[in-house]
Amino acid sequence: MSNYTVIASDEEFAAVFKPTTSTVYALNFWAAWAPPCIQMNEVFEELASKNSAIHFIKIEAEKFPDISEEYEIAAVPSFVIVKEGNVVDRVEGANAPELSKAVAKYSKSTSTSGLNSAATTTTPSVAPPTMSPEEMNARLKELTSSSAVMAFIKGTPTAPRCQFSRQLLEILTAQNIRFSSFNILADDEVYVKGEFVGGLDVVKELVATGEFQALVPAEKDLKTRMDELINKAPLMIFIKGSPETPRCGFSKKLVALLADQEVTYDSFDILEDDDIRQGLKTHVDWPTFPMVFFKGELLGGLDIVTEMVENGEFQQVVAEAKSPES
Amino acid sequence: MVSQQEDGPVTSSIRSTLTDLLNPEKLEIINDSSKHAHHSAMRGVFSKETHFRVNVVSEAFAGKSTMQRHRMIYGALSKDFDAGLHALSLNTKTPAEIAKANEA
Repeated sequence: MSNYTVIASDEEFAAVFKPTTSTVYALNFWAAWAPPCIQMNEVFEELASKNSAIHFIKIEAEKFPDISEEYEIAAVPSFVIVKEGNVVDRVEGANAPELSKAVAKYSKSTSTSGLNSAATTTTPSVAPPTMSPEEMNARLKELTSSSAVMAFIKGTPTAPRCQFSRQLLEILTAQNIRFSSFNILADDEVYVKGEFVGGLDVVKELVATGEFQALVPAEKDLKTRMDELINKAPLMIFIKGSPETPRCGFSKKLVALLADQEVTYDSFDILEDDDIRQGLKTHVDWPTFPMVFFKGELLGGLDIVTEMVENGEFQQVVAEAKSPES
Repeated sequence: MVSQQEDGPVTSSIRSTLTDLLNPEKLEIINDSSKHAHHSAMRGVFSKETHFRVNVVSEAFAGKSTMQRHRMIYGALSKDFDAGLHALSLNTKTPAEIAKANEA
């Protein structure tokens, strides 16, 4: 495709990338060892075939450090849209919908079909004659709120019927995201976690008896989850990894410190859940991990707890937490 | 005092923010990023300014708990965290506390 280049040299980049012209450029900074990049490369190529007015350039970030530095690339994948010499948009991370949106914004082409609609929820085009709008809405509401991530796709996770759906599914799986999906090709079928639950009649019955809700794990909202976790034990720590296998030097030191103090505590691995990881930072207004909570209140991070241990404050505070064992 | 090497952008940002905020008697910023560069968490990250230790002595800390001191600094550096600063180890003291520690 003439609007898609994988650059092999700085000279090639200079030849292809002429930002002062009116052409809009989309730059893809990627690395072979980062799996999300592989998914996004496919998305990038797909977008190139659909947006002939934009020139798509694929750049292996580590091979071209000067270019990466110029565009302040801190992580891969990263995408930069350049128009008339200016960076007009950036997408950081493997975010296919964001990238599609960004490309669509700057594409003069009128036929940006397919990709934008694949990852969004679409209501089935034909309602079965037996369902009233109210029933339809109720059913949709139930489905969309039944899971933190709900994908309405063509086909099922095991048998996607369209390549955009397939790509979306690959991305969700690669990112280890829990999701539910709904097959828009067959309005009468409801799939939960890729499993065929039944047609409308079956689903209605299951909803009525409460069995449907039991099938789909109730997703509490993030705030509730965070508050519950913080209060899970009197002394609660949020670390990278587990106490047995800490995955960061600071978390490791904290675990050793607490072992020394012979205190009981519970822990949560923030590497397992990015929602909690990012949400907690905002929730308690603290930017780093590990975090130590006592009775639901943030004591601080490693520095503070170390200091508290040194000056005896920690021992006083947690004396209340030590269970009076007989 | 002559600095041995130029501050990178993140380092200068930290330095100027904390100088303005705290008018410190002493401000040491140590870049530990290279110690973590090969960790899996840092894969795909090209910045050489991700992990820092900051030792600061300032009267502005007087009367504040350690937690409050840390929050002051974290708050002032929130944009740097958004921009790729990954870890910050803090040592925050007042001049009086340093003097006392030296006596002991």
